[in-house]
Amino acid sequence: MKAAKLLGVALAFPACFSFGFYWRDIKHGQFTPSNRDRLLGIKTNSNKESDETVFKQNFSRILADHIKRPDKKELTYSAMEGLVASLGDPHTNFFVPKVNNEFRDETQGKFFGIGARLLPDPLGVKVVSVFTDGPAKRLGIKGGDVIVAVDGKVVAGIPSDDIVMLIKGKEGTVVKLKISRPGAVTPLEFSIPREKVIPPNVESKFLPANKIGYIKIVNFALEVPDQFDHELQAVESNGLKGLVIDLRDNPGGALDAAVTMLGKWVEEKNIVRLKFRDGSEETNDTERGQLHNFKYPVVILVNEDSASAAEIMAGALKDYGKAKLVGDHTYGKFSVQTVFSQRDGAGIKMTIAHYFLPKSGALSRKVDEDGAYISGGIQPDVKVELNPDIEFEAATMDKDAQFAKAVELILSGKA
Amino acid sequence: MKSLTSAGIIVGLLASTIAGLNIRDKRDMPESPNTGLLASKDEQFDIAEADYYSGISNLIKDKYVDPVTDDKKLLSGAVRGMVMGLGDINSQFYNPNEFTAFKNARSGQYHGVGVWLDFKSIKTDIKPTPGETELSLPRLAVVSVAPGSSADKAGVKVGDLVTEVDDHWVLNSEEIVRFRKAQQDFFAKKIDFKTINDMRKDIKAKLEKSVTPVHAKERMISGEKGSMHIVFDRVGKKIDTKLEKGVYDLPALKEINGAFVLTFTSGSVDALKSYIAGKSEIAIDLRNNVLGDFETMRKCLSILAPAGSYGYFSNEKKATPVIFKIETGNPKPPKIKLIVDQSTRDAAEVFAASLSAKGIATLSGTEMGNSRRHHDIVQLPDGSGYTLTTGVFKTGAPTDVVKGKGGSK
Repeated sequence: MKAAKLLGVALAFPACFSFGFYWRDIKHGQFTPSNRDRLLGIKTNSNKESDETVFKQNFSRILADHIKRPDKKELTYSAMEGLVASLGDPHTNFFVPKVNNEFRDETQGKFFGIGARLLPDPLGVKVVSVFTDGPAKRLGIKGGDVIVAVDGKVVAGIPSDDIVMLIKGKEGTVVKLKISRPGAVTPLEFSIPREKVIPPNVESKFLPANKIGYIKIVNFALEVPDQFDHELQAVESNGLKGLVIDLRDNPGGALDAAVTMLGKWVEEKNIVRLKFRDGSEETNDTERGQLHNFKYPVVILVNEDSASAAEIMAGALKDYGKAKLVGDHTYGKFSVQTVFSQRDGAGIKMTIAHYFLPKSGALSRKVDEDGAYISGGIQPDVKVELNPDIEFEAATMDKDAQFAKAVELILSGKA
Repeated sequence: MKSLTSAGIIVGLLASTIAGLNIRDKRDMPESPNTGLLASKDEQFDIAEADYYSGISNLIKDKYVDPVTDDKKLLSGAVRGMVMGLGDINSQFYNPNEFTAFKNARSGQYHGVGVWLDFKSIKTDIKPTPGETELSLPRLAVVSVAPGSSADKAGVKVGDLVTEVDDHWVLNSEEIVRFRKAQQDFFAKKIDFKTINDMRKDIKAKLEKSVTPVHAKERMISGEKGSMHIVFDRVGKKIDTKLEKGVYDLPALKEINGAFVLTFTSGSVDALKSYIAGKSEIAIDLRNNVLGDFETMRKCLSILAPAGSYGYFSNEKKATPVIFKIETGNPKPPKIKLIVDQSTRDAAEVFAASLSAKGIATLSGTEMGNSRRHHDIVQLPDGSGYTLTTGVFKTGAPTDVVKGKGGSK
C-alpha cells in the first residue's frame, strides 16, 4: 500500500513536469505530438510528425548554413508565407505582424484622411474633387489645387501613392498642407484635421439627349443601398428610357449590401449560398416588400476588376433575367475570407467558404502558372473591349465604348 | 508529520510543474528577455518555429475551404518560402520536376533544349524612384551549352540572356523600372504623351503574356520532346531561335583533342587516377562544368595536388571561415594545364583556382564564370529540393583578410 502510494507520488512528479512543459500547448488548445515524442526519445515515422521534423531540420540548416545568416523571425515568416502560398489561392495570404495591423486598420476604417480625390501632378498631387462634408471642403480646398508640401516636406517627384500615405494618418491629428492654387501668387497654407471620410460610393448622371440614367457604384460599403436609392430617385425624376449601372472596377465589399439592393428586382429569392469546409451552408435571400418598378431596361457594365459583391449583383441579375451585362468578364472571386490572428500579431487571411449563384454557380477565377487569366467570372451578354489609350487618359463618357454599347442596346430595344 | 509530508509533496509537485514550464520557456524562448513573470512573458514571446509550422498547417487543415489532400505540399511550400525569402538568387528551390532535371544535369545529362541556366543580377543604371522599393527580378542567363545539342547548333552561347520563351516575355525588373521612371518623367513634363503611351502599350502587352524567370528555366531544362521558340539577348543583340528538346549527354571522363574532360560526377576519381598514371604532363578540360559535386572535386584535387590547405570559404556572417584542405595528396603532381572558360563554375572554378594559386597548374582558355560558391543540396520528401549557398571560396589564408590584405585573386 505504501509502495503504491510512493509510486503514485513518484509518477506525479513527471506528470506535473509534463503538465508544466505543455501548459502553453494545452492553454492554446494544441498538443504537438512531436514534442511529446522528443521528450520520451521516440522516433516515429507517422506522416504528420515527420513533416514537422523535416521542417525543423531544414529550418535549422538554413539558419546555420546559409551564407547570410538569416534572421530567425524573418525566416519563420518566410516559411509561413510559403506554406500558405502552396495552396495556390491568391486570396489566402500570410501577414507578418506589421502588415496584419495595417490590414486590420484598413478594413476597420481606421485610416483617416482629408476627404479629397487626388491625382499625380509634377509638383505633388492635384485635388480632383473634394467630398461633401469632408474636412478639405469645409476648410476651403478646391478642385484644381495642387498639394506641394505635406507637413513641411516638399513632395514634388514623390510617387503619388506615397504622398497619399503622408497625408493620411490617425484620427484627430492635423496635417499641414502647402497648396498652390491657380491664380494665387503665393502658396496657401492649411492645417486640416484628419477625419473619417466617406467617399461618395454612388454617383449618378442624367443624359437628357436620350433620357438615359447612369449610376456608378464604386464599392459595396454598408451605406451603399441607401445612397443608391437616393441616386436612383434623382435620375428617375427625369423620366427614364433606360438605366446603366456601372459596376466596373468595383472590388465588392459587404455581401449584404448587394443582397439588399437585389431586393428591388427579385423578392424572397436566393442570391447566394455559402458552403463551408465542414459541409455547412448559409443562404442569402432577398427580402419581401422591397420590389421597385423598373419601367425601363437596365444594363450593367462590368469588367475584370468587378469582383466579389459586384459580380454577385451582376450575376444574380443575369441569372434572374433582370438586366443585360455589357463589358468584359468579371474577376471571378467567389469566396469568403476571414483573418485568423496569431499570438505574435501575425495573421492569415484565409478562404473559408465558396459562394454559389442560383444558376451560374461558382465561377472561380482560374489562372495559369504565371498568373494569367484562363477562365472564371461572369461573362457579359455583350463583350466590348475598351481602347487601351482611352483607359489611360481617364475615360470620359463620350469616349467610353462600353457605355456607348449599353446606350445602343437600350435605344434599339435589345436591352 | 503526515501533513508535513503531504505539504512537501505538494510543494514538490508545484516545483515540478514550474520546472516544466521554465524548461519549456527556455526551449521556446532562448532569446526572449526573462522577466520572471510567466504571464507577461506569454504575451511577448514568439511562437517557436516548429510550433508555428504545426499551428498554421493545422489551422489550414481544419478551416481552409477545400480539404488539404497532400500534406507534403505544405511542407515543401514552407521550405520553398524560406529559400525564396533569403533574397539570394544563388539559393534555388526546385519543384519535383525541376529537381529531377537538376539531378540529371549534375550527373552530366541535360534534358530540354540542351543548356543550363542560372539567375544573374544584371547591373543597371536605373535607380528606383524615391520611396519605391527596389524590384529584384533577376535575369535568366545561359551558363553552359551541351556540345551537339539543339541550342549549340543554333549558336546559343554562354552569357546569353533569355528574354522570350514560346512568345511569353520573361519578366525582368529592368524594363518595369524603366517604365516607372518614364512615368515620372511624363508627369514632370520631360517626355511627351506619345512616348509614354507607346512604352505603356509595349509593357502592358508584355505583362499580359509573361512568364517568371523560374518558370522559363523549368520549361527550358526539362522535357525530352517538342520544340521551343526562344529569344535571347546577347549584349543588346536579339537572337531568335527554335530549339528541339532532347536528352544531351555532356562529354565526360575521356580524352578529347588531347585534354582529359574532367567532370565531378560518380566515377571521376578512378577515371582521373588511371588517366594520370605514368604521365608527367597532362591537360584537363574544365569547360561546361557548372554543377560539379564538391566532395568529388576535393577527392580529384587530392589525386593531383599535395596535402595542405588551398583556401577557405567565407560567409557574410562573422562565423569562422571554413578552411578548404586535403588531408592526403599527391606529393609529386604532374605538370598540369587546365582549359577553362565562362562555363567553368563553382566546384570546377574552385578546383582551378586552388591549383593555379599554388602554381601546380597553369590556366588556359578564357576567364572563368566568376562563381566560386559552395552549395548544400537538399532533397525533400515529395521529390522537390533546393540548393543553399553556404560560402564563397577565396584562395590564401583567412588571416590575410583580418589583416586587411585581402585573400582572393
